[in-house]
Amino acid sequence: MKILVPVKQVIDPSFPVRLKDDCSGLDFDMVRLVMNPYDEVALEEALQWRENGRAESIVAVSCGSESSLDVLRNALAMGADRALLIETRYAISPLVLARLLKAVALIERCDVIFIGRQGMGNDGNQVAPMLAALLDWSSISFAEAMTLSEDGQNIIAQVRNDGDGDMLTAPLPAVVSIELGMKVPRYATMQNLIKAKKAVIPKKQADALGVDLEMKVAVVQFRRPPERSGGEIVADVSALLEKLRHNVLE
Amino acid sequence: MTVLILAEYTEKHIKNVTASVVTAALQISDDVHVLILSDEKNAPSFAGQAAKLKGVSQVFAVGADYLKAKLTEDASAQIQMVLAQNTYTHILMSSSYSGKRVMPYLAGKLGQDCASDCVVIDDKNLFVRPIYASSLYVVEKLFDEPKLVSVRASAFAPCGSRETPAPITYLTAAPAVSRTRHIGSEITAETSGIDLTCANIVIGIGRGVTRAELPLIEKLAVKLHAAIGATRAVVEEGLISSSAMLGQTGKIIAPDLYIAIGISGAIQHLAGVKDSKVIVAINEDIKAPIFQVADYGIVGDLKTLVPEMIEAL
Ligand SMILES: Cc1cc2nc3c(=O)[nH]c(=O)nc-3n(C[C@H](O)[C@H](O)[C@H](O)COP(=O)(O)OP(=O)(O)OC[C@H]3O[C@@H](n4cnc5c(N)ncnc54)[C@H](O)[C@@H]3O)c2cc1C
Repeated sequence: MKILVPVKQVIDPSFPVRLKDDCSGLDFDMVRLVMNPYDEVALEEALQWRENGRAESIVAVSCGSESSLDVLRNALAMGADRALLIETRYAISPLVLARLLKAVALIERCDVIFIGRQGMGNDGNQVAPMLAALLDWSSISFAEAMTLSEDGQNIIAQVRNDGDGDMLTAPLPAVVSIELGMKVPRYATMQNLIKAKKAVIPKKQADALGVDLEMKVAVVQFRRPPERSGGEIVADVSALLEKLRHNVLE
Repeated sequence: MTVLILAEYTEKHIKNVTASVVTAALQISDDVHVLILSDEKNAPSFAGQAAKLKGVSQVFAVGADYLKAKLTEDASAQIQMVLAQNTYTHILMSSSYSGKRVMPYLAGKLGQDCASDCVVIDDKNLFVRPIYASSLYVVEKLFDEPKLVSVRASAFAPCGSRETPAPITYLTAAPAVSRTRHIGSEITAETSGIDLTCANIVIGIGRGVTRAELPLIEKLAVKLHAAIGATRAVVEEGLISSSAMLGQTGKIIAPDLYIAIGISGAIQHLAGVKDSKVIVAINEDIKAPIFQVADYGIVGDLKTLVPEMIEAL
C-alpha cells in the first residue's frame, strides 16, 4: 500500500496572528512557519502503518511556494520515503488544492490519503471530503483512531461526530482526515534533519498537471472580530453568585 | 433566489441548529426550502416539525432506512437529486461535524468551492467566517450557484415556529451510493448527561482540575444543571472523552453561561467558547489569559472555590 500525506506550511500556532492596521492582510513579519500540526499527526499515523507492515511507502506532497520545501524536508526527516512540491504562485482555494492533490494521488498511484482535518489558520475543514468526492474514493473524516481490516481491503475508523463518535468502515481507496489526538508525532532527529537538508526534492508546476485551476471563491477583505473585553475580578464565591443571580441564574 | 437547507435531527427532533440556519437563510432570500433525509418511519414527523419553522416555504422529505446512518456520500447524492429537479441559488447547513462533512463533499461533486462556518452574511455573495482560531474574520465571495455555505448556528438566533405549516412534498430516495458503512456508535457517558451544544450552562474544566476533583465538578454540574466540557489538555490526560473537547478542534458552543475552571485560556480553546453570553473564570493565576475574556473572574484555588460554590448554590 502506498500512502499519500499532503503537508501544509502554516504559521506556528503559538504565534498570535495580527491583521495589518489597514486590514488589507495578515501581518506575517514576526511569525515562524511550521508543518500544519494536523498533517504532522497524519504523517505519524502513516509512518506507523509502514512500521507495522500495513504500508510499503509514504509520499509527502505540499502545494505552495518554494518556502514549503521546509515542511517537505521535515517530512523526509520524520521518515517519509519521498517528497514532492507542487509549486503554486498564488494562494489557491480548497477546490483547486483538492484538484491538485487528486492529480498527484493518481500519478503516484496511491491507495490511501491521510490528511490533517484542517489547515491551521484557514480552519476550513474542506479539503479531505472535497478530495474524496473528486476521486470518488471512500470518505472518512475526523478520524480519531483507525486500523486496517484483516483482509487489508477496508479502513475501520472511529470518527468524531456531533453527539458521540461513530465507527465506520470503508473500502480502499480512501481519503481519511485526521484528528490531532490520533497520535503524537515523533521529532525528526538532528541526523535525519541534516540528511533531509541535502535531499533534492522534485518540483512540479501546478499548471503542468493538467488541472482546472479556476477558483470559485475569493477573499475580499479581512475584518476584526468583535472583541470581548475582560470584566471584573470578584472577591469571593458569594460576590460571584450575587453577580450571576442578577445576570444569568434566576 | 431560493435557498435549500439540509435539516439535522436527533432521535426524535429537528435540531435547534437547523432553526438557526433558517434565520441565516432568510437573510439571503425569503424563499427557504428545507430537506429532510431520514429513515422512512420518522420522515413524516421530521417533515412536520420542519414545516412549522417560521419562514420556511417548502419542505422536501426523503424517507429511506439507509439514510438513518447519515453517511456523507448518501446525503450528497440526495441533494444532487433535488438539485436536478429544482434550481437553488444557495445550499446551507450548520457547520456541525455533519455539515463539515457534507458541504465540502457536495462542493467536490459540484466542482465548487464553499464557505465554511459563516458567522455573518454580508449579502447573497459575501460570507464572513473566522480564521486563525477565530482571531480574525475573512470575508469570502462565492462566484457560482448554488453557493454552498456552512453556518455557525450559534451566530444566528433560531427562527421560531408558526401555526400554519409549509407544504411538504415527499420525494423518492435516490439509490444508496455510499461505500462507507456505519458499524456502531461510541457511547460515552457524558458525565452530567446534558448535551454540550444545547446546554444553557456549561462548565469547562482545564488542566487545573485533576481526577480527584472530578466528583466535585460533577456535583456542581448537577446543581447548575450544566453540561461538562474540557480543554484538549484534559482530554489528552484521559480524564474525559474527546467528545467533550471545546475549542477549535472540538465543539463550538455559545451557552448563556460558561464557567472555565482551571483553564488558562489558549486561543485554540477560546475559539470554541468565546461566543458564550457570560464567561466566568476560576483560576489561581491572575495573569491567565482567560481573565481577559471573562466577565467575572475569581483568583484562587479551585479545590476550595468549587466546594464553596456547591455549598452556596
Ligand atoms: C493545533 C492545535 C489545536 C488545538 N486545539 C485545541 C482545542 O480545540 N481545544 C483546547 O482546549 N485546546 C486546544 N489546543 C491546546 C491549547 O493550545 C492549550 O494547550 C490548551 O487549551 C490548554 O489547556 P488548559 O487551559 O486546560 O491547560 P493549561 O494551559 O495548562 O492551564 C491550566 C490552568 O489551570 C490553572 N490552575 C492550575 N491549578 C489550579 C488550581 N488548583 N486552582 C485554580 N487554577 C488552577 C493554571 O493557573 C492554568 O492557568 C490546541 C493546540 C494546538 C497546537
